[in-house]
Order: sequence, then C-alpha cells, then structure tokens
Amino acid sequence: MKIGGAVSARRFVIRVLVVAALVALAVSMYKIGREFDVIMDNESVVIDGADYAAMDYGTIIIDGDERRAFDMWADDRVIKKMVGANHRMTINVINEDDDSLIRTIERNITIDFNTRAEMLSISAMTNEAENIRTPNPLYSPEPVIIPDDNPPEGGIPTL
Amino acid sequence: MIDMKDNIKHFLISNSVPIIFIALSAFAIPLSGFSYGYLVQEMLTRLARNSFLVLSLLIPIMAGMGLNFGMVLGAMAGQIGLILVTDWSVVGIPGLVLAAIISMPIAAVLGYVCGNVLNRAKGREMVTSYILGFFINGIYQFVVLYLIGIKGMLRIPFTGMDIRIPVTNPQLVLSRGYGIRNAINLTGLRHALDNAFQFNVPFGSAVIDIPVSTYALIAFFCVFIVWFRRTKLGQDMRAIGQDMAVADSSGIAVERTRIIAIVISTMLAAFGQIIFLQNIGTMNTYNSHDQTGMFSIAALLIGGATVSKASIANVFVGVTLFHLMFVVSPMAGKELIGQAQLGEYFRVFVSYGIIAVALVLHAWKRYQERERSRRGLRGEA
Repeated sequence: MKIGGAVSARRFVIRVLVVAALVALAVSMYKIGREFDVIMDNESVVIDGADYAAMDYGTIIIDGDERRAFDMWADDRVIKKMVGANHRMTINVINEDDDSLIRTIERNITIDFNTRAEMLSISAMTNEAENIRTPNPLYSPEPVIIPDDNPPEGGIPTL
Repeated sequence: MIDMKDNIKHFLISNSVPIIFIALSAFAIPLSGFSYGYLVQEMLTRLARNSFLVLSLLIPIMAGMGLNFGMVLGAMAGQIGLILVTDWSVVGIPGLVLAAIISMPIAAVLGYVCGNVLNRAKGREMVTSYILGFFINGIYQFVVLYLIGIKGMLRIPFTGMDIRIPVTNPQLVLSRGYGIRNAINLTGLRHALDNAFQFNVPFGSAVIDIPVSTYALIAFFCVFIVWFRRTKLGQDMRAIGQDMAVADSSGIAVERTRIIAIVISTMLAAFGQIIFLQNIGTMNTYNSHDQTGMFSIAALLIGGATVSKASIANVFVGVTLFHLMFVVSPMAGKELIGQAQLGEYFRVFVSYGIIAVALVLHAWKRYQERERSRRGLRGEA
C-alpha cells in the first residue's frame, strides 16, 4: 500500500512538472515569437510638449541586420514587422548632399505586448527624447465593436 | 529452388499493392513528360509534408485497432492551435511549437473520447472512427463558425456576456463578427520548419531543395516509434494487437491501453497537421482536415501495410507512390486520352480500387487462417 502510494504520488508530481514545463514553454514561445507591426514615423512631432524636427535623411538598421537596412526621408512612414518585444535600432543620420555620416544614434526599444502595432517617432529618437511613442492612427486599443445591424430574428439567442 | 520460388511468390503476394503502383508509375512517368528533377523535388516536398501524419497511424495498428480514421480529430485540434497562434501573431518556429502545445490538450480530450467510443465497438473500430470523425467535424464547424470571434452569437442570460472564444484579428473573422474565414493565410508560419535548415543540392540542370529540419523531425519520430515498441506500454499494445483475450488474462489493462494508443495517435496527428499546413501556407478552415484521414490511410495501404501490420518502411514507400500518382496522373491522362481530368479520375479509381482490393484480400486471408486453425483443431486434413 505504502509503495503503491509513493509510486502514484511520484507519478502525480512528474505529471504536474511536465504540464508546468509545457506551460512555461508555451509562454516563452509566445514571448519570443510574437510579431508586431512597428510604424517608423519620420514626421516633425510634438511629444510631451516638446517639438522634434524630422530627420532629413538617414538609414535605419534593426538588430544589426545590415542586409535589411532601409532609407528614410523627412515625412516618411515605414511599417516593419518585428518579432519579439526587444530590439536595437541604429539610426545613421546622413547628409543627403554628399552622403557623409552626420551621426549615429543607437536605441533599445521594447514593444508593448498589449498592442498589435506601435508607432515610433524617428524624429524623437534622433533628438534623443525619452518618450518616442506616438498615437498609432491605424490601431485602436479598444476591441473592434461590430454593431448589431442585422441581428437574427428573435434577437440574439441565449442558452 | 522450390524454397526460392515460394519466397518470391510470398514476396509478390505480400507486396502486391506497392508492386502494382510501381508498375503504374513506371508507365505513367514517361507519359507525363515531367523531368526527373521536378519529380524528385515534388516527392521530397510531399514526403516532408505528409510523412508525420501517416506515421501517426502506426501506433493504433500496433494496438490492433486497425486504421485510425479518427486521426481527423487530431487534425482539427492542430487547426484550432493554428487559428489561435495566427490571431496572436506568433510566427516562425515559436508559432509552430505554440500551436502544437495548444493542440495537445484538445487532441488528448478528443482522443480520449474516441478511445472510449472505440472500446465499445471492438472489432468495428475503423468504421466507428470514420463516423466519429464526421460527428466531431460537426462540432468543430459549430465551434469555429459560431463560437469564435470578436463578438459572440450566443449570450449568457442575465449577464449580457457573450459565449465566445476571443479572436480579435479582423483578418481572421467574418464580417458579421463571429466565425472564422474560409481561408486563413499562414504567412508568418509558412515554411517556418522547412526553411529552418535547408540544403540546396544540384540535380542535373535543376536545384533540389531539401527541408532537412522537417526530415530531422520525421527521423526523430521514427526513432520514437522504434523506442516506443520496446517499452512496456508498447509491448502491451503489441500483445493487445495479437490477442485481446490473452492480453487481458495476462493482466494488461486492455481498455486503458487502447485509449492511450488512440490519444497518442490523435496528438501526433495534430502535430502532423501543423507540419502539413506550414508547408502549404494556407489553411482552409472547414476543408483542410477533410481528406487527411483518407489520404494518409490510402498512402499507408499503398505502401504495403495491412489493417493489422504496418511498418515505417510502408509509410515512406506509400507516401512516395501515392503522391507520385497524384503528380503524374493528370498529365499522363492528358497525353494518353487527351483530357487531364480523365487522368485524375483514373488515379482516383486505381488508388482507391486497389485499397479496396487490399482490404478485401486482408479480410479474406484472415478468414482463411481462422478456418485453417479450426480445421486443425478438429483434426481434419
């Protein structure tokens, strides 16, 4: 009886550990693999009462991947898909006339998990502002409400 | 000499189905006009896509439960995992792993239900699992069409709360607010496993892409099956597959072991469907799982397996031959008869006709063996 009880207690503990490991793996896969639409906005912007002028021209490298570096001019907006919440952005501000490098700004960004899409201000980043987020015009934090234009006859069924 | 003749005769009879398919393929391939490079690439892609699903059928066969048409339940569980992962925008390998983890409890519950039902239908497992697949398909369609969405179709009285599984991505949900769209683009998951580690090999004038990571996973699964057969649980399943009454007398928990076999098969079918859909790149929400069971079982039987015996070699031979017919028949039919559609009808007729013959032959052989042993017991010549 005692041996049987010990074996079944051990089995129960192993099963709980396996389930806990799977849950932990699932949470980590979610955090590692979550993709976000990040809008890079290079317009002149006012954030927290401060004015930030747009960068005239520059190249942006995300996470050191120079093959996927892209150019931005003033008033540009670019949408990039980023996997995971933490990224490093390198902005090379370039003189458009002679292609000389003016300065390089490196910034670590953390994307909010509660949003599907974020808008980051390149202007604020090049001016080394603390807050670089601007309201995203394409995304509403509230869930989309679909009005009951055509409810079924007799109303929405209940159980 | 007589022994060799007997051996050859026995080999030809035991492997009649794959031999017929090899002969048909040898006839159809030159007619189709496809290059060997193209055919090799297609077969490698289809092997990577389908092998996992077909391998999931081996465990119920080992346990004497026949061909598990209920694997479609696992396919549905895998699809629900993919829907949720697509809604949450989890991409790449993490997305596939997360989809697999989400599908596990769903597949386990469905497999448990299937196993219990099959325990009440001993001797008629195949047709029971086939019909059970249709029943669960109805529940799946109800859930996916009415209970998933941005808003719910049903409401809990007095609370005003909707009964729904929240999916908030408007690209997935129908315009009415609930129900998943017919086709879901798995952009973030497309070829995630195939491209993780890939070789490009020159083959004549073409370049063959070999999805090494997918094949590594399939190889791992094969090793798992070989190892599983040697465990106590695997041996119990084999004992049950040979004779349930003897296994029961030996103290094996027959019903519990049969349920475990179906649960494992259903979960592996869920993983197989995820691998299948990541290769395709698009999921037909209401149709992708329909033919999963039929095609997988057809492939296994074409590989020379029977209702009571199947090996890993049967899986790979069967998938190759079955899908080779898929690829070459339309063009071969067009060259021979003038219409590609007739070639397709010919493929369907030959593929499923041969499977029907194989099943009938198997049933006849078993009847003959039982009669022979009865005659032996009665002492008749």
